[in-house]
Amino acid sequence: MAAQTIDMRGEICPYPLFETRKHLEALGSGEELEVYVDYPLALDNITRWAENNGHTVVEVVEEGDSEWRIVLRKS
Amino acid sequence: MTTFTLISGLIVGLAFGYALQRGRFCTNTGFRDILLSGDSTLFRAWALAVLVQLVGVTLLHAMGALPITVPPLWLGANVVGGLAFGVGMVLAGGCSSGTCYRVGEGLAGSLLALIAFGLGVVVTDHGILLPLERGLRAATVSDTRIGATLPEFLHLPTWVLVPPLALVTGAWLWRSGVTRYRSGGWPWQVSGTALGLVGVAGWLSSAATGRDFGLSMTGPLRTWFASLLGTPSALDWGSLLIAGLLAGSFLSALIHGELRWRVPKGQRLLQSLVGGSLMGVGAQVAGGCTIGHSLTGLSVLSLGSIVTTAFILFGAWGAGYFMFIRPMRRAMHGAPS
Amino acid sequence: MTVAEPQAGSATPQPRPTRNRPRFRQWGFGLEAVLAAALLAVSAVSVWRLNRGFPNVDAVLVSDVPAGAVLVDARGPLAYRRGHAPGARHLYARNLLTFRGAIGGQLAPHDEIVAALHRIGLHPHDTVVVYGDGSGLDAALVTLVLQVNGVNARVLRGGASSLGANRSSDVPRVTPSSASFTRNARLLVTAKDSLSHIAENAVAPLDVRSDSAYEKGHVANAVQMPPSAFWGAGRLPRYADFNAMLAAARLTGDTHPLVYSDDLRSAALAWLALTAYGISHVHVVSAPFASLEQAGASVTTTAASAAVSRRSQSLCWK
Repeated sequence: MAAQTIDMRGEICPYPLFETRKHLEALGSGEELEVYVDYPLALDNITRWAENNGHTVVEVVEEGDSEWRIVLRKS
Repeated sequence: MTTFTLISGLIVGLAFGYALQRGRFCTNTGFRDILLSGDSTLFRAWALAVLVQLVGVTLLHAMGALPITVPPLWLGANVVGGLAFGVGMVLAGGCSSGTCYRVGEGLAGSLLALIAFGLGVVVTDHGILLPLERGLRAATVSDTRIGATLPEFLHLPTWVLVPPLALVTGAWLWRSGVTRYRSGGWPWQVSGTALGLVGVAGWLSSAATGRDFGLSMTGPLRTWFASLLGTPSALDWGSLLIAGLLAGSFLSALIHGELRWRVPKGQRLLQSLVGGSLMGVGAQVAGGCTIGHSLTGLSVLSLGSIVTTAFILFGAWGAGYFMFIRPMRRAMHGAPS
Repeated sequence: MTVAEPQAGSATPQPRPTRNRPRFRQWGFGLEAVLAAALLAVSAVSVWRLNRGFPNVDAVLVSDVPAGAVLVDARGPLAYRRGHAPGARHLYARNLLTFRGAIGGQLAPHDEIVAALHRIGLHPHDTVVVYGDGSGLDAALVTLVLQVNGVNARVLRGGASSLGANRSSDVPRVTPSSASFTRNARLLVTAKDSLSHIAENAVAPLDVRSDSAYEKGHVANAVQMPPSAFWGAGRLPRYADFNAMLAAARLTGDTHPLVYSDDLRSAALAWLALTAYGISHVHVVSAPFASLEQAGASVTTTAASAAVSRRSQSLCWK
């Protein structure tokens, strides 16, 4: 049900978080954003930021070796 | 190079690299994210590491068990070098230790940044940028043997100054909430303590090889790159520290399934190159980086390290603002509802 | 950046745990424990090494004068006359040198030295403690020459000031000796013999002069270590520092250093520290550098690649 998907694999710090925030702000309340990251720090950063700002981390799926698909829902 | 130097440098390096990777320890992220996302997790890890080292080194030195040298205060060089380093590390996406451990994890961008860092250091140390270093360092205020330390500056003995500092920092750290680490890395309490202890072990084993300093990256990287580029220096404890660091972070990434060759787009590679060079020049001018000054130098309360760290912080915040905060605010204003 | 089709029919699942690698967990814990233990071991060994003295220091240095030892004052005649330890015999370091031509002087001929030893009543196998003014130069030279002639001589740490306040101006009455002394030709070598050692590649030349003298010209392949590397403030350097300098100069293990200088006293200091460190085959050239040059040593201005400098310490501000 993701309204948007962004692929941040290969990106350097802090672009995964930066792009996630940018796209999440642009969504409407309740819409979901799907983010692909391949860096553990990005996973920590993004999920932590989302939770600290009232958004919901819907799911985090390990897609492969050090690859995750994060689904966030905007509050 | 003696056997003891070889073994001790490699072991401390391995532990250092391992702890950096497990703790995702990057001062760049720690400094920058306070502004960018209000997340102070890595900042706390760094503060704890400094605290542990400060207490450990002060005690050992007071007992006469550890000789120390204090990085000198060069007001001009510390400020300019710190600013350059701060900007550079935001561009490159990692500070000096962050870049190194990420090389071990397989990030191509960090590898490029590391090479640019080394070249930047060498060019400033004995290349065309040497006049810049000399000019900025001309305002040397202190003698490197004793150095300018905070206790000397405040005319307070070390044993009066350190306990309150430690207690205040400790209290602030104690009051932190619970943090989640979905990637399975170490919590900041663990990584901070581990890195602090590695730092103390680094001071001890380095001094036992005649190098009276702790963990640092700029000097050792200069030795490696200068040697690779034709001015061979003897490999010493610092050089082995770097080798161990790369190996330790590689091993940690391998064991925990985080090893992966990751290549960013062209624009990011260029950014890493530019950022790395700025970091190298800034670190060599200032006489240290986020490890040499902001971790090791702070543990002996060096004024030069305090100034450099402050300006690294300002540089990182400045770059973070222009590269990320402002574009985000603009994007939010122009975003469709 | 791609835009995906919304997936139909999926309820919102709970956040799932992300890490599930049991096989690696065990490896991780194992390596962490090993690293922690290794770090602890390294720290303990480091503390021990930081506090250790030179392994072979008793062969050349003493802190107190043992009973029955002969005291020898290596200082100049003025200092000796002004006040020396009671019973101390006078053997001025400079009297062991001749200054024909060369600046720092070279070792006096064997008979002259033996005559000096006879005069103060020394015999081979006597136990002698030599003291100087604390700079180490005079005491080191006298000790070296005594040891070369078979006398069990050692330097007193700290020089004359370690001997307490009791001073005398009387020259002690000594029966001159007539013992025969044989010179150890391996320890103290002539310029000519030095050249054959160098030619055989059996020695590592060590230049104990100032940086500027070294740069003007030194024996080919000689590494430079200034006199201050071997002694300072009345004592040997810190073991860890000395170890590092020797490692940078590749002078550890079984290398046989061939020490030369402009001043034989500096060379003697180097001998003292190297012997205390545990290098058993030290050769000292009994003539200054100029004599080596004259005798035909190949001299160069290129610095040896194993240069001893603080730069090798990877410190960013040096």
